[in-house]
This record gives sequence, C-alpha cells and structure tokens, in this order.
Amino acid sequence: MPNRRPVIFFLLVGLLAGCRDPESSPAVVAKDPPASSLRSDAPPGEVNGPMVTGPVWFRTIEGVGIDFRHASGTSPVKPFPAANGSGLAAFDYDLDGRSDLYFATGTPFPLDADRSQPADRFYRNVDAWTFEDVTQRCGLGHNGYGAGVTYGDFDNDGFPDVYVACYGANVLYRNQGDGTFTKLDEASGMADPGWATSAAMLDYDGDGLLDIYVCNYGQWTLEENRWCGDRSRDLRYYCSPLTVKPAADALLRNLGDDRFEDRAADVGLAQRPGRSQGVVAADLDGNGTIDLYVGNDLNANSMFLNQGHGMFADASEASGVAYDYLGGMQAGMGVDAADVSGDGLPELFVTNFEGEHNAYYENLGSGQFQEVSQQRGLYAAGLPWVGWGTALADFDLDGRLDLVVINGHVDENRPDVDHAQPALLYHNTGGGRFALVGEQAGDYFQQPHTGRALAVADLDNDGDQDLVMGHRDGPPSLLCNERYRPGLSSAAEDDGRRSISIRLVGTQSNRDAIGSTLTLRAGDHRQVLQVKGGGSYLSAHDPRKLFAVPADVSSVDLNVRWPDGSVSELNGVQPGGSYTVIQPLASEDTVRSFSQGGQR
Amino acid sequence: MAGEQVLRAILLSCIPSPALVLSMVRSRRSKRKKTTPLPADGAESSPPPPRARGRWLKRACLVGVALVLLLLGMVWWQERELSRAAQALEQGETRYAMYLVGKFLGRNPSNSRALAIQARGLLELGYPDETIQIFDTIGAASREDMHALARAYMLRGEWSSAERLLVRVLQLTPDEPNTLYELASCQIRLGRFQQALTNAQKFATLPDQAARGQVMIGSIHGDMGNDREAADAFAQVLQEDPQAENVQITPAEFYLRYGRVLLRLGKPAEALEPLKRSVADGPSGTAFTLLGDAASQLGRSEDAALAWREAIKLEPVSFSARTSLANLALLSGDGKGAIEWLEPITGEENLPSRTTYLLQRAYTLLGDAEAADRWREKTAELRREEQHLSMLEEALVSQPGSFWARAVRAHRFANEGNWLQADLLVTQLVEEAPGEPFVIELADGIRRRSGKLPSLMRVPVTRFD
Repeated sequence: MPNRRPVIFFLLVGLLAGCRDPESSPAVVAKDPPASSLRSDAPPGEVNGPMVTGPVWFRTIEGVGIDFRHASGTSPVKPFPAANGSGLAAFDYDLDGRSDLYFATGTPFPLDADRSQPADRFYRNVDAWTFEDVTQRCGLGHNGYGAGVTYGDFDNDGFPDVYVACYGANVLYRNQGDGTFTKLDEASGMADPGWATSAAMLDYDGDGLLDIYVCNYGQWTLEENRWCGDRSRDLRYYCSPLTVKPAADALLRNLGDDRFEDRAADVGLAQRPGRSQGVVAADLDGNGTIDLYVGNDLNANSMFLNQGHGMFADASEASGVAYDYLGGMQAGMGVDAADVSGDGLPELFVTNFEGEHNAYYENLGSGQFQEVSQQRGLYAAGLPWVGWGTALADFDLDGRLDLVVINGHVDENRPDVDHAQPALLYHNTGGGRFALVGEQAGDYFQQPHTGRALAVADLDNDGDQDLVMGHRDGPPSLLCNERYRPGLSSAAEDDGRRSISIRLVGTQSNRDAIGSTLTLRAGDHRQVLQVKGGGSYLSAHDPRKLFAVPADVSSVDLNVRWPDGSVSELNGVQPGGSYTVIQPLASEDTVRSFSQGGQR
Repeated sequence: MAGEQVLRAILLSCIPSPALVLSMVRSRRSKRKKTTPLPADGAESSPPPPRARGRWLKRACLVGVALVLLLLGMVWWQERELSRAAQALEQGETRYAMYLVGKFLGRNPSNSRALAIQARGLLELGYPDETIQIFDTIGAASREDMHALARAYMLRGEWSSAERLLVRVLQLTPDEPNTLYELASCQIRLGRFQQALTNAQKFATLPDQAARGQVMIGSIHGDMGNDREAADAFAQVLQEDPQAENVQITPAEFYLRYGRVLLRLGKPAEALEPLKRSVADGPSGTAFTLLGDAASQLGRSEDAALAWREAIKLEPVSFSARTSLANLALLSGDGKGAIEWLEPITGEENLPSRTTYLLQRAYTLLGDAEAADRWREKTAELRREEQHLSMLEEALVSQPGSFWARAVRAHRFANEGNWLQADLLVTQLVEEAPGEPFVIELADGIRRRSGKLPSLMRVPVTRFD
C-alpha cells in the first residue's frame, strides 16, 4: 500500500528568475498567471506568412534566433547512419522555467575527430520565441556523430544533464548548475564505440539514481559499406536495414559515483539485439515499476517488463507488441506510450517505414496489447510516408491525447519517392478514433519536410504544447500551438479551456521523477499521464506534464504515484498555471543527500 | 523445294547469259560494220554469213521472252493463291487462309512463302510449337514472319527469345503499336522494368493507344512499388476510357489493380469506388478481400466483414480474408472465433506467417501456452522465409541484371513450369559461374524437368535477423 504523504507545493514563478534552487523553498505553491495573459499577440519571432487562411492549429515561427542546420553526412557512398538523422531535446537547463533546446547533428564520413568547430548546438530560451546560442558558453557542442539526445539529472543535483548517443563514443555532460556543462571522462563507462541511436533515462532498479538505456543499431563501418540501389540506372540508395548486423542495447546502471556499467545482459535485456531506434520508458503494465518498449528496425519490437528488483522479463512476443497485427516485422522508428483510452494504462504507438503502417497498440491490461490502427483511424494516412518522431499529446486541451508524426524518406536521389514528406497531425475526436487534420493543421503540415526528430514543449509557457521539428540536412522548425480545434471558427483558447502544467521533483525517487504517474480528476473528467523516459525518435520532450481542464471546472484533484511507490494527493488545485510538485521527504538522511546534491 | 528449284532454273534459263549478251552486242557491231567500206587493201578476212546468224538470234530471243512471260504468268497464277491466303490471314480468316495455303502446299510442299503463311496461321490457331518448328526450318526473314515467331515464343513463355526478335521487328517498323506493347510485356516478364516502362511510355503516345499504354505503365509502376505513379497512370486510363472497356485487360481486373494501388497509398476512401466496380464487373475473392480491407481502414468493420465473407465464398482458401476475419474476432476478444476462421486452412501449402501469427495470438489470449508456442515457432520459421524472399524480390527490381537476380528468375520460371525460359537463363548462368552449387543444382533440376529445385533460401543474401 503506497504511502500517502502531505504534498509540498512549490511556487514556480515561471516567468521570473530565481527558480534555480528548488530545495531552498520546499514549501508550496502555485503558479503562473492564467495562460491567456501569457500569450503574446505578437511574438517577437516573425510569424510565417500564412498560406492557410482562417484559424490553424500550429503556426510556424521564424526568426527566433536558432541558426542550427543539421548535417547528416550523407554522400554518394550512402553511409548508413546518415539516413537516420539526429535528434533534439527540450529541457530547462538553467531552471528559469523555460524550455531550452539542444540539437544534435551528424558529420561527414569518415569521421574527423579533429574538427575544431562544435557540431551540436544548444540554445537558451530567452523569452517566448527568442533563443540565444549558448553552445560554447555552456561547454556543450559535441563534435562527433550525434544521433539521439536525452537528458536527466543523473547526479540528483537538481540540474538536468545531457546524454548524446552517437555513432562512435557516446557522451554524458554533467550540468554544473552554473550554466556550464562538463563532459564525463572515459572512466564513466560511456565510451562505447558502437552505433547508438536513441536513449532513455530511467531508474530501473529503484535506487533513486537515473540509469540510461541506450539503443544500439548495429555493426556498420564505412569500409564495409555495401553498394545498394538500382544498377540499371546507376542510382545508389541506402541499403536495407537487414544488411546491418544488429547490436545489443545497453542498460547503463548508474553506480552513483559518475560511473556507469552495462547491466543489460544481467537483467534480461541483451537477448534481443534488434537494430533499436526508439525507446520509451514507462509503466506499461500498471504494476508501478518502469518498463521499456523499444522500436526495432525490421526486427521484432521489444517490450521488457520490470519485475522489480532490477530484473526484466521479455514480454515482446506474448504481449502482441512485437509485430504488427498480422505478425509482420516493421521498421520500428519512433515510439510513444500514453493512456489514450482513459483506463489508466498506456497505449503504444510506433512509427514505421513507407508501405508499412504506423502501429497503434491498445493496452488490454494483464500485459496484453492489441493493434487497432485501422479501427482507430491511424492506419492509412501514414502508409505512403516514412515515419520518425512522434508524440501523443493533448494539443487542443480537450482532455484527449492527439497524435503527431514527422515524416521524411531516407533516399534523396530516388526518382520514385519524395525525400521530403508532410508531417501528420491527428485529432482525437473521441470515441476512440483519430482523424487526420487537413489544412487547418497549419502550413507546416501542408509542406513536405525531411523530418526526423520531434519534441513537444511549451516553448512560450502559455499553457499548451508547442512542437520542435528536426529535419535531416535542414534547419529545425518551431511550431506555435494556436490551440485550434477542427470544427471551431476561432482559436480554441477562446472557449475558456485551461491547462495545468506539472513538474515533478523526486526526492526519495530520482530527481526527475521518471516513472511517476499523475492522475487528474475533475468531476467525471479523469486523465492519467506518466513522466516517461525517452520517447519519440532520437529526441526528448519537455519534462512538464500538461493536463487539460474543462472550462467549467474551478479546481481539480491530482494524484501522484512516485517511482518509489509513494503516493501524494493534491486537492483543490486551481487550473491555469504551472506547478512544481516536490516529493515529500522521508527522513533526515534523504534531506541531507538532497541538499548536498543541490549545492553543486 | 525441288519444284522451286525447277522454277528457278526455268527463270534463269530465260535470262540471257553474259556470254549470249556479249555475242549479241558483237552481232550488232558487226551489222554496223557491214555498211562500212572495207579497207582498200582488203587485208581482213571475210565475216560469217550475217543474215542467217541474225535471224537465228532474233528467233531465240523471241522464244526466250515468250518463255519468260509464260513462266511468270504461271508463277503469278500460283502465287495468286498464296496472296489470297496471306490476305485472308491478315483479315482474320485464319481457317480459310489455312485451306488455301494447304491446297497450295499440296502442290508445292516446299514453297517457303507458303510455309511461312502456314506457320503464321498455325500461330493464330494456337499452335506456337508448330509455328516455331516451321520457322526453325525455313527461317523468319520478313517482318511479319519475325513478328509471328516472336509471338509464338511469347505464347511459350520464352520471353528472352521473343524480346530479341521484337527488337528487330521494331527496327524495321518503328512505333508499330503491337510490337511495342509486346516488347514491353516481354521485358516485364524478364524483370527489366525500366526498359519496359520506356517502351510502354512510347506506346502510350501512339494514336489511340493512350488507355492501353497507361494501364501498362500503371502496372509496371505497381510491380516496381511506385504506387503513386501507378495510381496516376490508372487515373489517366479512366480519362481516356471512362469504362475501361478497351484496355487489354478486363474492366474488373483494371479496377482491381487501381483499387489495390490506392489502398497501398493509404487512400481507402478513394479505393472503395474502383473496388466496388471490380466486384460488380467480375466478382473475385481478391476484389472482395480488398474491398473489405478498404472498409476496415475506414473503420467500417461490419462492411469489411461482409466483404471478407463474400471473398471466402468465392475462394474458400483465401488466406487474406480468413486472416482478416480472424483478426476481427480477436479484436472482440473471441479467440475461439479466430481459430475457427483459420483452422480450415492450416493444412494448405504456402501458409503465410500472418495466418499462423493470428493462431499464436488467439491461443495466447485463450491461455493455451503450449499451442501458442507451437504456432510461434511455425510463425518464426515462415517469417524468416518470407523475409528472405522479400529481399530477393527487392533485388529482382533494383538489380535485375545481377547474377543472383537472374538465378532467382530462372528458379521462378522453372517453378511456373516455364522450363524453356528457365533453361535459357540457367544455361547462361552456368557459363558465368560453372562452380556455383546452387546454379548447378538449379540447372540439373531444370534440365530434368523434375521440379526438384534447390530452395531459394540457399540464395546467398546478406541479411541479419
């Protein structure tokens, strides 16, 4: 029986500075001004000239100060890793309440370790839609072949650290708390020279320290790169994933002294090498422990259920999530897990290659899933495109999770396929069905892109979720959520719906509270969200959880189940603001540990 | 043949020999000399008697001309029968043509022109083997003969032999619609999609051939996996021929192809109409199955189930329809219902992994771990094979000229019973790699016509599960 403890609210003065020391005021409180007053009618960034007339859901914002341009390192010899692009992450590195953005990039093959200029770029969110490049100032900017990016407070010092999964040695940057980062040295156990893609942070063994699950794609070298393509037209394409020998994933256990060791083989994770691409860490079977779901390229996807005590059981085959509904292997790119059906158990969504369909698995309970993509309206629209990053999120604040998928083909020289492809936005229309949003989704969704990475973040702190879209060999796009709902004649914000933004801070559990489950209740309305590790493709979302609140509701109740199993109840929470909820402390020892971490 | 030689001899006899011509020229000269006064010294000897010699020559010449005319007349008279036969053949009166040519051959059994007409007639009557036999003897020299021989090869499935001839025919008559169409067809069969596409595109630009051409273009794109281009081509067909009545294939087949491509493009709503047309024009299990798939993708499960049931009525062993119905049962939590749909086909050959996978899922949901495990193993085995074959299929499209693509094609032809084409391909492969065990075994199987062919799983494809 989980403990019920009094909850401490902490006022997150979202738009004010001075939030850098959370433990200094472990008391209460609320909250930002109402969302509508935060919205800027004329954002500093230039609004893209609208092609679509009338209200749109997402508007592309330009001129925000982000001059990053991804480089895949593609060349006529088609180096395989260049097909997949690189990721991005949205997180608040300086605890000023705004999501900052990290963009990873590739580099030409053969890799040149002596490049003087940093490749990855990091931008601080100065104000809504204004960013500044702080890569050098922060000591970030990895110059290897960056693929996936994730973040998490591995040392529990209160500041999020950054992990970059690479083709070549992966890197972990420790956030010093003073606006700078330092790279952990080889002794940390990070320097696996293989080919990693996505990564997720999670505390799999419940020791309060974030561990890292690293997806490894396979064994590939430029020297062994094969010729694939159309000989009759002398067109060289990227080879099939089946030509790459899969590598086993790694589970880097945090030893607590800046060192990590790979325990995948010891905890039941290494028997399924599968060319992993996307990973999400969440409680998939509702037993209170954090599980793993991994999308594998032309191999069975993996579901590892945490048995407690740091051991996993491979439930991939038995659960029904390893293959599509007819048992076919798919490309397994981006993944997400979230409770769409409202039963408290997360559904799973996986993006796939063209000619395959994106797969949506409904959670039946008891560790069983059923693919219902056709029945939910998620089958057909994705068929012609190559899907990558994805997210299940309530974009229009109607209390139902919508879905976004970014697309783009791997080959840029095939006459028969579009390299750039349109992203897809699905509106959850209720009754278990999704409908593809047409031109009202916004200009971005009408135009083709070489999409790869995708992260959800409330970039302007207006109480809804914006999008950061990463493109292979191109600049990213920032999409401002206008909260338009199809069928409305004006923006949805006008109908009075509000949101509550929650950031959890673990104390006995890991600082990011990854593995927590939040349940919001307002009369009949109930919504369950989890604080997850990983998700999407090579990318990491804003850690804040955002609940929609019906317009006629004046207060809601919130239940938090922390990763260690303790439970907190928050009653009478007022909608329309951002809250930080700190896990109640259990003992003086814990407090001391917490404080020591915070002094960093 | 002997008759022809006689005729040639007579004709040749009518043509004055060079010696005769020379002597005639001399005789004319000598006539002119007759009026020329002799030299005064009379040193030359006197010429032969001129009048008698001139008369003789004149008569011989007249006789010769008469003979030639007579013989030419005889030839014309005889050939007139052949011309009538050829004309009848061209007009589609094959049996009459065969009667005429048969009559002629009764008198002139070795006449090569008559034999060629007979060969072409036999082809029209559906005897490609005999056609090829005759042309093997007399040779196919004219455009018509080469075309007929190519078509005979096509009927026998000897696509590469046919292709070679059609290329020559096309050189003689560029832009001849039928030849272009047939050439593209051969190239499709040989997996040379790019060349086929070029010829089909050329064909589609010819007068009155747009609809047929676009059907072919759409089908080639479909085979290559270029679904969008295929759909564009099929849409164009309907602009040219709104009922798809003159497009080489039946309207039902056309609408089926169109609907399938639209489904693959993720356009189930657009696919509904052509699939309904296909079902209406010529109901088939495949069309009903695809119609069910379209309905299912639109969330209309009941309509889907109806269509899939219809498919099973027409094709009781319809893996796709049964699997879809089983999945529908699973969606409603009815594991037993799913098994009932699948059990009747578990003993069938070429059982796909999707069927066994649903059995695995059904038994899992029913809690029968043993049965689930059994089907899981079977599914894994089938899936491995399917994946291997799918990689081979990819190689066939992307590298049709590669050694292993040709080996797979030879295997496929042999499997279809097209031993001749398989033999043609494998002979070449053996020459290229005489020590390759797979090819040696394949060649042996093909030559024995045994049907005992090496497994395609042995084709070395670099692939990692």
